[in-house]
Amino acid sequence: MKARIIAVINQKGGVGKTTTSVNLTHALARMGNKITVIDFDPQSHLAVALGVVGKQQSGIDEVMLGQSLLQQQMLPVRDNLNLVVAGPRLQTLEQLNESGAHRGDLLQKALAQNLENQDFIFIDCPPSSGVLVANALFAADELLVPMTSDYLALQGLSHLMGTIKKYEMALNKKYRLRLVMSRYIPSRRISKQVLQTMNKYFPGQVLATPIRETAALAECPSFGKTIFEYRPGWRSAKDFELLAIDFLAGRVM
Amino acid sequence: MSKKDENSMIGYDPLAWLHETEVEKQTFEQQVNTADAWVELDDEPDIETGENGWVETENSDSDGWVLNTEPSAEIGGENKPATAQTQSIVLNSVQNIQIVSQLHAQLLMALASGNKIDIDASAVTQIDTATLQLLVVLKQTAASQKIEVSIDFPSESFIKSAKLLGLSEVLNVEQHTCGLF
Repeated sequence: MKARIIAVINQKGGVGKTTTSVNLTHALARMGNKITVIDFDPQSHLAVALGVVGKQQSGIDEVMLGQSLLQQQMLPVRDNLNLVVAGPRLQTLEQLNESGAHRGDLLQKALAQNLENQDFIFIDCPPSSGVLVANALFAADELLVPMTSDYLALQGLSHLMGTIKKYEMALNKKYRLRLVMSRYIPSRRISKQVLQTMNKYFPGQVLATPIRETAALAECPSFGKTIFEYRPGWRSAKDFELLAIDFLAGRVM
Repeated sequence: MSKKDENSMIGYDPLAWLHETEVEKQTFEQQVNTADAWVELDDEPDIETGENGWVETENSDSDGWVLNTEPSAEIGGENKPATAQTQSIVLNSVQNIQIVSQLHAQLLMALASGNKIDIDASAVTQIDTATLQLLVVLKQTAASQKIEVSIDFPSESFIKSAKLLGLSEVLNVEQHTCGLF
């Protein structure tokens, strides 16, 4: 069966894209799903959060430039979980200008290779709306949008939806869209109202479990550990376990 | 824009356009269906082509004009469903001085009726300086009226021509999606 390709996307920074990518993919892998997660952010934060810090390690950059196959760049970082790092040349991909290199379909072509042994491919997108995000939108069939529970995140979501609708029209496809309430602070009134607003505009599309803001989630990347390794059994680990079930079962608010 | 609830901490609702777009899309589809039904009743409807790519029909609304939703080879481009907020224009494969006046008329209409104009340039295989000049003027005019203009998915030919004339920056055309449609 063809792997499902999911872009974890939001052009706003600090909304929890990488935290979601790291912990959701590990949760899914722990459940037995075969996962590949691509660090599509030149800052390489996903790799760092998973404990991979070799700066010169090639990755998706080489694959997109046609110099390597995706399978050759897969690093097994946990049971059932492969990582494809960003690679040092990913940053320069946005600036390349020679014919053919500056295109939006490079990732799509790279992922068209035989990946039948994988259940899910996650793309952890950068917080921007340039060529890399365009590549992710071309390649993905599903979008997972982490959102923080503040007003500016709503503003950012509005912008993102405009971009998504343009791509849907141009590519003649409809993305399966799911939103994740990330960094949720239940005690704040604004948080609840942002969540209500999300449910109003995206009924049946907000995954059922909000990921609550905790210190542990902020701390674990510095140890290269996921929440299941850093604080197993804590409430953030439980949140992500439930989120993984939501994701698989399509359980929404 | 949504009304503000006194207890709400969300003032201006940035997502309100999503609902507005849905409602307007439905209205548009209803208008198209009505027009289709009318065409079926009469094999040769008395349609007179007006300026700006509009057609006058016998069953037109009170101002006597409806948007021609059929793509026309003689008109600068095809109009996609538009909303009061966003006007969408699709450029033809060949955009040159011979049809620039028609595109001009379309753009004038779009300027008058929306606060955002999306121009799909994906199909362009030839574009001349007259058209590019018109688009530059559009950008300038729209900026002065606080209307956003976006040239989406420009083709390789579009990018190449704009670049050749040093207009790619002012037209804000990006290369990453070129040549894919």
